[in-house]
Amino acid sequence: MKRQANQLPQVAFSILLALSLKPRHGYEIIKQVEEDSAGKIKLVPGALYTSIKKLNDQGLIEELSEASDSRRYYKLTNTGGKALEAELSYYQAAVELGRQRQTLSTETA
Amino acid sequence: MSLLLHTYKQPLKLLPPAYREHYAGPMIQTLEDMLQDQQSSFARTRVLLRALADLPITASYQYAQEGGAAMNHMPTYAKGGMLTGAVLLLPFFVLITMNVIHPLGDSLKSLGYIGVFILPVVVLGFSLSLLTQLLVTKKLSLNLKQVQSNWVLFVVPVLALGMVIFAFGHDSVHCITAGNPHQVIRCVSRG
Repeated sequence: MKRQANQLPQVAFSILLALSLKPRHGYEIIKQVEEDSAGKIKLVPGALYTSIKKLNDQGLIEELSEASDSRRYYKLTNTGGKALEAELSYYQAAVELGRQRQTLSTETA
Repeated sequence: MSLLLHTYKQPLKLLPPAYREHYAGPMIQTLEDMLQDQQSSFARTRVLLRALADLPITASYQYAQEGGAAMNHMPTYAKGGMLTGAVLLLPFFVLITMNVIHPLGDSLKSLGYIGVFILPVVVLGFSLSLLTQLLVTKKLSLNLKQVQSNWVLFVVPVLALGMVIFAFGHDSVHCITAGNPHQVIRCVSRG
């Protein structure tokens, strides 16, 4: 299991995960990220938009041109969806490997 | 709540112009949503303080990003000029650091001949970096806003200017500016 060079930072991964359900505006992303991380990641506007800019520049998310209110909404792009999928596969494989090793160490003990 | 938002809006002016133009509005809107969701004024103040504490980090990061991007678009001669200017400043920096770490008496004077030859190098470094910066500003026709985004252009000239002011404000400098080279060397080596 090779760790990919383009592996996403934790905050970027959490934002993509938050946007995987539907397009969201800033505060919705913050709330979803906090919920998904069980309160471990508490974003503030500065950190949020630093990551949003980076993800936008990388083409992983994009701004919705039409929004129902004055807020700016962001959605996952196809590339972003693929990056999230790759990331999730990596974590899934890592968790499975960890479980296998745990089982092995319990059996040998 | 408008006071809290106003407190947040002021330091946003420190963000790089391009970033501020695009993201300051959403940042304020997001903070407003966050504040509205809080039950007590204590909780609102805590959210504001967290948001404010993050701003210097955001600003530094964005300036670094813009500086890096500006460097990528800079002509090769500009990069070369600035790098040479920075290298020319190094001996003076080393000299001063040596004196700070291990005071050898009266700063530059105590280092004798070295001080005499290093000061003109600092001036040369300053002149070169300033000239490069002026050429780039003129060639790229940068306006004030663009100059702020290309802050990296000013790092070496400003550092160099600081060193020139420091060097020529030093009491040993009259030896260098006093007269002919023989007098200068005697003056400095006498300490």
